Amino acid sequence: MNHIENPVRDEPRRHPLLWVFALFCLFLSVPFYYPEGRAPTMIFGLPDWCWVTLIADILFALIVCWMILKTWIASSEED
Amino acid sequence: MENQPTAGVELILCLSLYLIGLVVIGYLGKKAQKEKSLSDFYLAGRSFGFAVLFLTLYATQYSGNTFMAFPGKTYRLGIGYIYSVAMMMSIILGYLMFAPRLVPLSRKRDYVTPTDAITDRFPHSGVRVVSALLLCWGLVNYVLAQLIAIGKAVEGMLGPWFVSHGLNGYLIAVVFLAFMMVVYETLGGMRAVAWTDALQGILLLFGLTTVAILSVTEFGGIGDTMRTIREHAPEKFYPPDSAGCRDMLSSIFLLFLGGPMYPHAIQRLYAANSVRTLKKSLATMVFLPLLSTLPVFLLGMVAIAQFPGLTQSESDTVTTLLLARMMEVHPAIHVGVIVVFVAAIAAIMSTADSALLSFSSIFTQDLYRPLLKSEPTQLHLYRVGKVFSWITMAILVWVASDPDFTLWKLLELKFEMLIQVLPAFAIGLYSTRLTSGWLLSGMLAGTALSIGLYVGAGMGILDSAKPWNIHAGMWGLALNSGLCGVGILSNRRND
Repeated sequence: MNHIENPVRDEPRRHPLLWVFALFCLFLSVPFYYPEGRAPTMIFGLPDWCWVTLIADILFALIVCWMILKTWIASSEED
Repeated sequence: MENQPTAGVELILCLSLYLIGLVVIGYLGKKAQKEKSLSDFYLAGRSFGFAVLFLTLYATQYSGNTFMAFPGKTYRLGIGYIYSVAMMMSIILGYLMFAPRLVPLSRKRDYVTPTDAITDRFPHSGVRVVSALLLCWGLVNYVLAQLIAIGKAVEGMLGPWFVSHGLNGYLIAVVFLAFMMVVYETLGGMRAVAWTDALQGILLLFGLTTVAILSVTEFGGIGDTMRTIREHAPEKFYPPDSAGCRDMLSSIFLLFLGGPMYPHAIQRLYAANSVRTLKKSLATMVFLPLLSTLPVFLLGMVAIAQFPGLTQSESDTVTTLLLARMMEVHPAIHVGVIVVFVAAIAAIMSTADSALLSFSSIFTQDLYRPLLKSEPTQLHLYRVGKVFSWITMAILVWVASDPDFTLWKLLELKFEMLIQVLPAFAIGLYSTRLTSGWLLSGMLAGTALSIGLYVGAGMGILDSAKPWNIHAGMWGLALNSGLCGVGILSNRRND
């Protein structure tokens, strides 16, 4: 029996650039880029870097949503 | 405690109505059963459409942790814990490493448990037993954590009421709610669990939205909260240093790679009625941390401003403290607080029942069935699974009745164990060159390293269980994957 069947026409693993973008957004959700000791600027009640985190989170969700809906194509979607 | 609610009877009434609803759903699940087989009992005959699949995935992923532990951790870590939103989202990306191949195979080859897929690819008894035990370890940890969370949630909200009646609220909550879970689970199996999850998922979404609105509006808004934190707890206001950032990234990657290994979540992938349905559910799920994790993060931030100086164990009860404070300050929002409380119980129960069902399926299918000399009937396995659910829950309730049980320390290693199974899916489904021997060596070495780092730190031999602020499980996975890589490179037979 062939255990490595390929029951998909396309799948997210074949799109490395999307993985790079998605992982980059995950990295951006942590403020490693923020200079230590700098006082954050408040924007609408939240520190500036929190907005970067939230925007990165939304971008991440959009990329993953795209990967699921556009790059995952099963041989039979209704199967 | 002075800020505990006095509305004990109202809360108990609402909770009772909710529990009756669960048992009715369990009974309906039993009536809807088509046959007494493992596939029908544990996967509901692979019949879930979008609404049920999405809500059961949601209710299962967001557990007692969401309501109890996340605000507590935000309280302790401060604003940096905003990374929890990305952490919960990353689990969905993790599924994309293997789900596109696993799901069609699961339908074609009638997989019931995650271990079925692993042993189909790696027909080796060692691989089967080790992967089943690693998955069970994660599940036991999960159910126990939920039972304790139930006890603490009920004790936090209704403690004074129970005390005034001379009762132990924690113990009653754990025993009674665990009993209810096993009743509806053994009545209707996955159908009952998923349908109750749907009810619990709706309550959870509604409860979390209420939490977000109440926590921001009732305590002066997010701006005031941040100003208070900046003045009185500046260490929780400023972004973390580089070591803290590494710790956060390690946590995100631990969930990204370990979260998709939850057996009950994998079984929900199997239970979808089509690939299209599953894709729609996962595509929606990835946005939900913005409506679930973010509100409880805000709740934790409000707690920092409202309850300064709590100890570590007190910080785990900030959710109930805040709800109690809200009821005390604004009696008019009584109903909203009751909804949030019932939603918290729903979140905990929906996760515990799913994990228990999955545990019972893995035991029956992967550990008990291979021991039998002749092939058992589906009816026999179906009955064994039910009996096993009752026995397991009884043992777990006994353990949970003593939250200071010393074995707890080891059970903190949840994702560290689950993550060691990842190469079986993420590499095994894509490479013919990985053999059972190398996979088994990788799993054992990765698990040993994770436990070794953890125990070493506990005994004082190592400074920390997280060298360079990276979790023990991630080091274990690196070793595990490295061995699998060596195995692939050294195996030329399947070129």
